[in-house]
Amino acid sequence: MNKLLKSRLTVFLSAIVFGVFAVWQYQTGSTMARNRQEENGELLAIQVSHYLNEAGELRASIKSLEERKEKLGEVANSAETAEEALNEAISEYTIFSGRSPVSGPGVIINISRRLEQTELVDLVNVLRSLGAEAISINNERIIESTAIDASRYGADIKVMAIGSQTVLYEGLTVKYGIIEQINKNNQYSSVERVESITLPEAKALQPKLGVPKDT
Amino acid sequence: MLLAVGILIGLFFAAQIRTVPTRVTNPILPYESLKNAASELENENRALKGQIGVLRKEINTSEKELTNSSRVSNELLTKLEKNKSVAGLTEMEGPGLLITLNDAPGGTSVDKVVSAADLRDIVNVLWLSGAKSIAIGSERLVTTTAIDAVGDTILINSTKSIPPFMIRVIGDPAKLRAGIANPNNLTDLHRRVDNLGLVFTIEEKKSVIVPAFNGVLRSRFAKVEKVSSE
Repeated sequence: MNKLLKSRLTVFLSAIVFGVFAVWQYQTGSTMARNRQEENGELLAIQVSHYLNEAGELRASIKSLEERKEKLGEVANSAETAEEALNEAISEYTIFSGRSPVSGPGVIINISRRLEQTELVDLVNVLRSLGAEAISINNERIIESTAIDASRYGADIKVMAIGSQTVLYEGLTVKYGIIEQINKNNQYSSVERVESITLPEAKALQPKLGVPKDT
Repeated sequence: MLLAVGILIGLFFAAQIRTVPTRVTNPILPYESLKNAASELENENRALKGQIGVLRKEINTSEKELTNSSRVSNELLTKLEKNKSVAGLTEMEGPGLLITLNDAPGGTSVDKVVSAADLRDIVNVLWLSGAKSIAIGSERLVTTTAIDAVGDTILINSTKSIPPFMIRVIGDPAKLRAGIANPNNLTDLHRRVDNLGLVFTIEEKKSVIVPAFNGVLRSRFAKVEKVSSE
């Protein structure tokens, strides 16, 4: 009799434990699903913020182009001011074509280990993403057509970027960011904000194949 | 009977402990609002980029008219055209490749979908192989182009891009193809193409058209030290 009571009590207690686990399991599943949705929402919020930023930049660019167009219309009768307007445009495009040395505020990144090809490609991409207007690696200007070949740089790499010091610095050194990845638990790299740096002009600029379509 | 009562007590006990007494909110509403905002902004930015393209074309015409009327030197306009061309503001045409990259059919795992890193690696191999101009979809790659991912959304020049990705590249077709086929390059991508069915096709073309960049090229921090005399 005692034995029977003992076994029934065991079944009863096991059933309670089973019940607790069943609810626990169900609610944990719901929480995880909710977290996934929150994560998606977070990513969407990042996207929206990205688009808003871009919209602001696009509007500012439209304004500046409209001003240029107006100026070109106004100066149609004066050779001197027409040349001035064209020189202004040449100067602006020169920055992005890499056809001249440029200077401005930014950051200097010193790296003391060999980087994998993908790490260097990612580092340059992060800088562009953070709004860098000009980049150089070991004093060689990087433009869009510069092939990044990590094997050329050895274990002593100096990357310079012109742009907002704060945005560049914070973006590079953010937790789980590119600098943390490069450091790999050792202090292989450092980032320094600078008031002014000068980057050289790019090499090998002229396309040998391909022509502007409307010429 | 004891079993049933025991389970019931257990369920009741655990539910009681784990129920968080919060006020009910609609969890879908903020998500949907964000989704709509993202979609609207995406369309708005596309329209703004179109506007920039039109303005740049109008400015080009005005600049050419100035030269034709002999008000400014031809040399000055040539210099301007050269700078625009190198900066990616001119539509280009020449021999090259048309590359298509797409997710593996039915693929949802990370290895079976195209990532921003894949596109960055391909682009770098193309530059290493002598590419002269590259566009992914309608996005011309320029010196400020970032290829990023926010979750599973790929952004090129801050514009959402979805697979299949069509990469148009001008350069020597044979050299470009050899660079991509080199087993030392794009090893991870080649493995996923061979083993997981990622789509990666290459067509040699006598004529490839790479569109002009329609985004923002506005300098806020960099200043020209000396304009090249070329």
